[in-house]
Amino acid sequence: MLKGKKIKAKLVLTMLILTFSTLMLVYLEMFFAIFYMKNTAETIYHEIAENAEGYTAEALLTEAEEAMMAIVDAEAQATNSRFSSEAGLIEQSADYLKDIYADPGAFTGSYRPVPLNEAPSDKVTARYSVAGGKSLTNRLSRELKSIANIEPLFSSIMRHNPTIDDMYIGTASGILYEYTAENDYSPDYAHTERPWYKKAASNPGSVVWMETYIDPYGKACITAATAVADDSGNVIAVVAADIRFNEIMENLLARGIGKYSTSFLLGENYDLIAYRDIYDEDFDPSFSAHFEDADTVKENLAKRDGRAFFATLDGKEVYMCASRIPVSGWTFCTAADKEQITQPIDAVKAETKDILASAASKTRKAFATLIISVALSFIIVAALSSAIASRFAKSITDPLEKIKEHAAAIGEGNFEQNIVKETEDEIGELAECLDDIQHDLIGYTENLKNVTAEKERISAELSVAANIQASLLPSVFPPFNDVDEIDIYALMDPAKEVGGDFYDFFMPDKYHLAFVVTDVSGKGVPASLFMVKGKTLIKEHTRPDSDLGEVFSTVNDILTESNTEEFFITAYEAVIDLRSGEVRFVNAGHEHPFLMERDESRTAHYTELKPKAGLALAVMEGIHYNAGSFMMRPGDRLFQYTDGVPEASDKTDQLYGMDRLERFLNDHTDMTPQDLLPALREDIEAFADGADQYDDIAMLCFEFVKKM
Amino acid sequence: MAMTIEKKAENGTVTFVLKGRLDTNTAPELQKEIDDGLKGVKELNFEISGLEYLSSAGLRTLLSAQKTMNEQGTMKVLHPKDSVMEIFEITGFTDILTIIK
Repeated sequence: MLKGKKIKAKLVLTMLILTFSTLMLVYLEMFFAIFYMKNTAETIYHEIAENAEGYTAEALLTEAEEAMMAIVDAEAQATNSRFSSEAGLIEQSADYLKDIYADPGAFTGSYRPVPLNEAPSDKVTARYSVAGGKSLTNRLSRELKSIANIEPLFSSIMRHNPTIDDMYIGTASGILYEYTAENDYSPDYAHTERPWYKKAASNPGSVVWMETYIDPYGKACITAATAVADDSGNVIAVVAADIRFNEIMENLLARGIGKYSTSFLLGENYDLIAYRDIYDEDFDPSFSAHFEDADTVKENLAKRDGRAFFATLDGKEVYMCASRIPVSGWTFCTAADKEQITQPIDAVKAETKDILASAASKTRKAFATLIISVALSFIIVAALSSAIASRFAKSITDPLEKIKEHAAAIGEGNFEQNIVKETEDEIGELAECLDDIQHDLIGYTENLKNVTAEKERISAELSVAANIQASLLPSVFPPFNDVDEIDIYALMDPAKEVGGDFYDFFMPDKYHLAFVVTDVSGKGVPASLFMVKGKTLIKEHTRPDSDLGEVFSTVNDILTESNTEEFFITAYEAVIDLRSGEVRFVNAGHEHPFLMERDESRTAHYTELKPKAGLALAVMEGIHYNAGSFMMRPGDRLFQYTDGVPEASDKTDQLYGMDRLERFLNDHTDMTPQDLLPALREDIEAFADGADQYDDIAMLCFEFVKKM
Repeated sequence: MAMTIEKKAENGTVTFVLKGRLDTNTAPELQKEIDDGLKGVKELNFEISGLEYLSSAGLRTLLSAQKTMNEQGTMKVLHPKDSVMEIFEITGFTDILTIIK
């Protein structure tokens, strides 16, 4: 990421990355904290709302429960005590009747009840009927006469208890004695088959309560009855009273908490025996006709724990409670419309909701502001740190930039700059170093100038020396304008500017041509200077008739005497008599020449002449050299060279070699000296193929054209 | 190809084992060994069976060694290859060097 960027960018980036990652961490933590706080606040609001709602609802329901329980308890108690007193009256009547049956002779009143169908309907009187419309037998007449003695008791009870409509006695023998204003007679009526008689007869010793019915006057009534048994336990009669219930019921139904509540009475088997709709013609008293999930409601009722519970009555959700009336086994209930009870709760709920919503909205706004301010501060801090990082980086890179400029200027050759060490750090040290370099460079440059100047001077001198050396070699061909007898050509290529190889030719007199090919050990100026000395000596001592052996012996002594550098010279000198073709020669350690001759068939052929050579010149004093001789015929050629020819090497250090040289010469026998030597040199160059040559190359070739 | 010089010295006898090319470029190296290393040497040998090429500059170095040894002891050139021997012969150095084939 940082690769290829400038130091400033690297520094800035590095610092920014560090700063921003730290900032991001801190701010992320901050944001998390803020959101956590926000969520916590919202949760708390929510809980508060829930709790408030709970508390409120619970309080209201408890209140309602208490009120309703107070009502049902009080009403049940009141009803129970009324029923108890009425039951007492019936029991009292039953006891009286029992006494009558036990001792009929003791009751001698002359009460004469009239047959029911003859009794008035506008006045309460005693009356009778016989079950099944039968006639009154004597025995029954006697029994009726005894029973009639109860009239004063019934009369008294009914006078003092206006809610008791009528009182009656049904005997097991079939007499129905009634003290009432009712005269509705049916000959089929059999009281022993009626529920009140049967229930009472099957529960001797206790008062049974028959549930509501509507009497012929449209009033709701209940019947209380109890059986009378003889000493052996046989039921002989049932005493009963019809109690007007409508008042009780109206009273009951009026009880409740406010207009949204209703009260009702449940019988032993949970039938509704008092209810606001009881007068409707199609009223169904069964429990399940009015309650949803009747079984659960019954279970709640059976608990009798004094707690209110929810139920659905005639399609409306109600909060109801109940209290038992022990005497009759009935249950008094009050049910209040749940909506009406909880209405205040909803109001509170809504209000709480509003308050909380407002609080939440305020909280949200506060958090939004907080987040914005945190984000703003992040931006400010980020901008600040960027600016600081950039400034800091600049403080590092500016001096570097200066040094860079200085360095560039030094590169352009300005060593006179005022490089100031501005800081004490590595950059300052770098500036110091650069200053040192600048000063050193001044010295180096000066030195380099001198060295270069010196080198140029030497080079120039060498060039001059090379020119001088070249001028020492005969280089104009043909060299002798008026000499037709010979065709001579020579060339020399030094490995350095000036060489140690040398050739020379001259005519000591007009009949003789002398040539010398030499090679001095070593190269360069010293070797060439030594060579010049050798060449000069050889030329000076060569006379047309001199013994070449002696010439070399003399030259050797002179050279050896003054040879302090251990140079030595190999040299070959030959002198040809142009009149005869006789060649005299001497060889001081030099290569043997090649002689081209023609055989009988005029075929030309180069042959190496190999007489033994003497020691190289300047090695040792007092050496005696022997000259040799051979004959050349017109058309013959002589080729002499230095070791630079066979020892020219290619890049793999292969040598050109004698074999290759001999082959080349024999392949080019038709070439004149002037053509042969450059061609040979080209062949050598082609062989070397660009490889550096260590040795000088000198070659000389002449053709003995004709005799003088 | 350059040249390697191995110098063995024992009991006043020094042997230089030369391999490769003894020419203008490598001769100064051997010359330095000769200039520095022949003090008190009685017997000097050049083992040149590994020498591939000998130039006039190399001859000059051997000559310089021979001149030094002329004054303080003996010098031998041992086992030259044919091509090198030819150079000794052409230049006439067989006359002044003790060459053992």
